Amino acid sequence: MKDNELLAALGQLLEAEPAEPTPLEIDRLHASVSAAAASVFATPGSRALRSRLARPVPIVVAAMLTVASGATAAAALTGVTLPAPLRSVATAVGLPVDDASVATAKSVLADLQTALAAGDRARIAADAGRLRDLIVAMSADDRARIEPSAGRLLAHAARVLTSTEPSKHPGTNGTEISPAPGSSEPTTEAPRTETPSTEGSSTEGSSSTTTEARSPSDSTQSGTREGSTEPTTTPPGPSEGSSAANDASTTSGDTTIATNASREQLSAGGDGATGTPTTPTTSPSTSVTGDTTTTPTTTSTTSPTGTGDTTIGATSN
Amino acid sequence: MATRPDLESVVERARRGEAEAWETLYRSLYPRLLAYARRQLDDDRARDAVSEAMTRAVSGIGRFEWKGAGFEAWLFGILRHVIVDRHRSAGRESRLALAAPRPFDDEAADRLIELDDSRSLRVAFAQLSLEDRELLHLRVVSGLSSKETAAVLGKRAGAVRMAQSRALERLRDLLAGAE
Repeated sequence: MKDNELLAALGQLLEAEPAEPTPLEIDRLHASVSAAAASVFATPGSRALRSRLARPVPIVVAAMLTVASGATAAAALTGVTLPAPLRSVATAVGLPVDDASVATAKSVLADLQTALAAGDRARIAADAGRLRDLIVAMSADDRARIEPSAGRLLAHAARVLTSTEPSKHPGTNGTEISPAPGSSEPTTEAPRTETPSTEGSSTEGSSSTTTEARSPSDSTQSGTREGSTEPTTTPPGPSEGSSAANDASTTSGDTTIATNASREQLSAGGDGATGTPTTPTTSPSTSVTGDTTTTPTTTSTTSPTGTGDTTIGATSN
Repeated sequence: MATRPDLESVVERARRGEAEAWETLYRSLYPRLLAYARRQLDDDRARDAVSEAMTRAVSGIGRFEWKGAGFEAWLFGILRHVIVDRHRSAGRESRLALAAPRPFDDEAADRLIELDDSRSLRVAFAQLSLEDRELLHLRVVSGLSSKETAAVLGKRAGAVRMAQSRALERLRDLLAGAE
């Protein structure tokens, strides 16, 4: 018997019987088809994720980003100031993290608010001055972010400082309150005496000069800032300061918080303020300024004293 | 048995997830798959093995390529792995059952007994080794080509043809001895 004949005989012998899958087996088949169809949609993403997670470097990077984003998010929520490197990473990633200057300003704002709540005038004056410096040093964008709250708080601080000690100088008990640089907050000005501007009120760039009569006995020093350690005494009487200068202070970013009642003078930063300390120092009134002290005197001589800050003096007799 | 173009069409539909195509394939291949499984397992286990093989085929259809031995060989290969797994899980007893010649106690065998030649052939076939019987079953009952059978058994087509020739020679000798 040849191979073909033998195979044919085997085919007849071993022929498969007709058979049909049972309904249960058909149901199992359909279930597996459905499961496979479902896994087709789930597989690519999960497979890609698994393949990515299988690499150690991405895991480390992902972990770092997770930690960084988590920390920055927590910081953003809690107001904690982040370290500069982490802040840079967070900014690059796109997390809503404040710039360092904004964060610092917010911190000072909080301090000022606390001081206001406590009624501590010294702290109020100090924090307000510090806040003023920070605002001046800010970029325009950052300033815009901090300005609304800062302006309100600074105005409040000025009111508090003013109201606690009434003016003793008739007609000069006004308080000049300048909002934050560039702020649209109105400036509240109380009546005061203004005298023609003299040499001492030179305004290079922008300057803010408040000229008010002072009482020799009322001058106090309440605010000390960087570069403002040189007290100047001014003689009583009319002093320099023009309305134009005051306008300049409002529009140029200078801030004036002056309390003639308490004689607390806060100097505010600004560009080009070149008021100078005056030579005569006959008055005990002390004006503590930043870089520049503008003293209300008609007899003073002006000397360049740096730039940036302007004396804001409010005195009362 | 579906023609090659028809089979390809149905398989491609099945590859796209059409349940109807899978059912068509299942029904058309079921008798041969079951017959192959019954050579090595009892009826219930053979049916379960075929069902499991189809489930594996559904989940693995994405890996199937036509450049191989074909869909039927691919499916028989899956079934063969399923049967091997069942034997492994069942232990030595099942392996002995796998190795033992399966008695022809079904109706088909009864019909063959009526023929002297068929009876002698049945006896001779039962005396063949497991490997010979499996190979001849795949070639004759499952209708697979040498290439497809080789794919199922994990051998080369030439080796399958040679093994088939030797198996038939041994069967011929057995038939001659029986006479």
